[in-house]
Amino acid sequence: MSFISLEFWAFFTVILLFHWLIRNRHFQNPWLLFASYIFYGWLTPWYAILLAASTLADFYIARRMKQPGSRRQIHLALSILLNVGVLAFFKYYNFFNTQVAEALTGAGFSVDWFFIKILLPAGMSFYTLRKLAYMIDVSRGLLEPSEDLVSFALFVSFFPQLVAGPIDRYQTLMPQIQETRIWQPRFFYSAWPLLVTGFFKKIVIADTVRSIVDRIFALGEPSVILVLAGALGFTLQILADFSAYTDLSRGLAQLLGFSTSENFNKPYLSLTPTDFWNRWHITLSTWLRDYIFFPVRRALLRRTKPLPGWLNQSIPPLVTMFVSGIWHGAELTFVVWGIYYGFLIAGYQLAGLGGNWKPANRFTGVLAWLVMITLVAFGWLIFRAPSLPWLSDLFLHSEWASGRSDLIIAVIVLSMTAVYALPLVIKHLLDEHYPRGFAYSMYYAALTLCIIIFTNSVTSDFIYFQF
Amino acid sequence: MREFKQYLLSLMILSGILSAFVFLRYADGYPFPVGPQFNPQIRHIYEITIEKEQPQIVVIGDSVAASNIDPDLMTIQLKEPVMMITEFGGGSALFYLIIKNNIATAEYKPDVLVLMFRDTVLTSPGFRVRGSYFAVLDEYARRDDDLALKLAVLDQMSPLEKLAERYFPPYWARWDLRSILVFKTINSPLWFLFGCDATCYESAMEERFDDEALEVDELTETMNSAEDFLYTDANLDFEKQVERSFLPEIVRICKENNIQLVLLRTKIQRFSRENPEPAALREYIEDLNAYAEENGVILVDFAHDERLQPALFEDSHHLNEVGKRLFSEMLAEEIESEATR
Repeated sequence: MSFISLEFWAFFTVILLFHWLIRNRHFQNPWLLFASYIFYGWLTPWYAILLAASTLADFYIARRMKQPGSRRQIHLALSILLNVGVLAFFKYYNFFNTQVAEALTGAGFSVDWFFIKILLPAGMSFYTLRKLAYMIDVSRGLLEPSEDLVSFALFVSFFPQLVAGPIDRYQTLMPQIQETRIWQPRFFYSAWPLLVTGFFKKIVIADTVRSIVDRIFALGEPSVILVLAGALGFTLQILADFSAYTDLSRGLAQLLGFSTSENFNKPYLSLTPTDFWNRWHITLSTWLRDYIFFPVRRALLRRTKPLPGWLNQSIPPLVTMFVSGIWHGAELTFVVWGIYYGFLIAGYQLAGLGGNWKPANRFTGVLAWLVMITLVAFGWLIFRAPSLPWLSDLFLHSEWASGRSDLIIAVIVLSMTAVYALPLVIKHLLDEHYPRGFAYSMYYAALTLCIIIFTNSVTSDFIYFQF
Repeated sequence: MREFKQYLLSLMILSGILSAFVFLRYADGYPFPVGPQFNPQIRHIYEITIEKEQPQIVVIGDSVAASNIDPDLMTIQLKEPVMMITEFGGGSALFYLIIKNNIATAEYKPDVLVLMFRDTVLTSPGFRVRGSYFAVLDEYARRDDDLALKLAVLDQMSPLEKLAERYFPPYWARWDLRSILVFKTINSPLWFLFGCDATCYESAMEERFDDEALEVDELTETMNSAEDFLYTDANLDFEKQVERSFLPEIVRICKENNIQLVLLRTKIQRFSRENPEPAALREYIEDLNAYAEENGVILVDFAHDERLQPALFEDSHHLNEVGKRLFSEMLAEEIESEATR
């Protein structure tokens, strides 16, 4: 069920009403758990069964870790093997199955079943990270394992966050699950701006810009100018699409009485790659920082034969961003995109432009911003490219512009990107200068009317569902 | 609390201003009619061609028919004139309107009408009817083609949507407002840079994004996702869909005009060993077959024909030149064998 479908809102209305009528967390939590599994298994019930099985496994493995004499590292390894193994199977099976099947067929084996395409259950990448964070923290002694299966299962499957995050940690969500929730009007007053913004970004910005961006990236032999314009369009589209999902997710959680994490903090105003990843998909970035970056760096620093300083600085971001690329999918474009950011972060750090860098003056700031937004847009070009050969052909063999049509379309894409980015710029200015007041209300009223005017066009899935 | 009240007040003010603008600029009365309206003009191009060429067999379909069938080859093989009616992006609503307002109205009637379709197109009246597709429907519709409007548009709208369209001016005039708000703003740089208007932009888009310019995999993915609508649970339920579709009317018109209707199911590459055809589609086709037999309609099903190998396809739907020749021969053979039965 998509958050912007009528079907979902009918479902959510029922869930919300009963949730607040119950008024007792001992019944609210099972009710929300039930709702989460209905939501998740709506189209494919076995996804819910898989989720339940992996949740049960982690619940009991974590409890075993606490038992006296327990070998925590072995239990942790088992959990990692289970979680990463299942995720890797679903995510990369299709990448390898055809080659393996063809090789086996060539060797005379009948392997028809090997050709079956297995779809990655939506949200698996997200709930796997959530569970892994919990298991690692329990093994490190930072968390006590949960004693309450229903609460733990709800933490893993909480439906506003299940399909595309934010990847809230146990420390953030569990205390809220375990406290009594009583309806307060502030839940609604915090939720409505998020819901309006989410609908607006998805229906008005993302899906409209997508219509032309998709066409450009579907061209067999596009010109360079067309793809560069398309990359800028995609830069806006992916921000609008993904942050729309986060806004809706946070708004829905607020209506249910939960306060969840922000995932975006004006990422396109970043001045350095580290700054960008501190503002983009924040819950994933912090996950990668805590469970990949820091352990790798610690391991390097503890080496008996220390590596040169530049290697100590470069390896952790490269490994972390490589993992980030793989996490996004079994496409080489994602891996290259991850490594690209690894090199950027390492390069900036080696040049003394790391996380704490601040521009000396306004001119340097503007220059740093221009360089960074260009690098980000180029990164999205790699991310969105249909394949690596397509990308290399583009830069090695394609024309700059293959005719007047290309220039016309490129201008339209740029103009479209500027027009549709305008509401986000206005929002930023309002947040800076008029965080409350009539201008703020007018802005949201205008967004609402735009949503009404733009509905009834084909609405696609959120981009991050596929990860 | 205060912000929300201010928001509601702002919403009312802006809605009021926008509604006043809609009334002044676009509205003839209130409440508004629900759904789009057909204009009185109608194209008779196929009616004229049928009367002129007097074909014994007429084949109607979308771009897949154009790429899969060679009418000249079929004419030679069948020794009877075959005429093609191909409307790119056509769905069952458009085919119904052409049959009703161009084929049935011609003084000369063909003996056989072959209606080419894939999977559930015949009973999915909401397929390809919105936006620019509606403009094509309008070309072949009479002002009073209420059934076409009902099945293709009104039945596809939710009660909430109908209510909004009837009573809320900004929603009723959304296409015009969208055009003013955005498209004109977006297109304005073209004026300054190229002296180019919307038509020139559209022709640039058509020239650049021609199907042949697209990568086959991307094109296939785009085509398949655009057709996901045909494979929803609702559309795979033949019994429920048939009475809400144009199929019974098409059958009736053909019977009334002594035209033998042949439903031709074409093969597409949507399903494969990795992504098998859903069981519900097989049941759907069985039900369609039974319906065709009951109503004296011939169903020719090439969807699983082994002769149409993947190498013969340009993309997931359209055959190449070799495939086109083979498909035309296969169809001619089927028509010949049906005629001798």
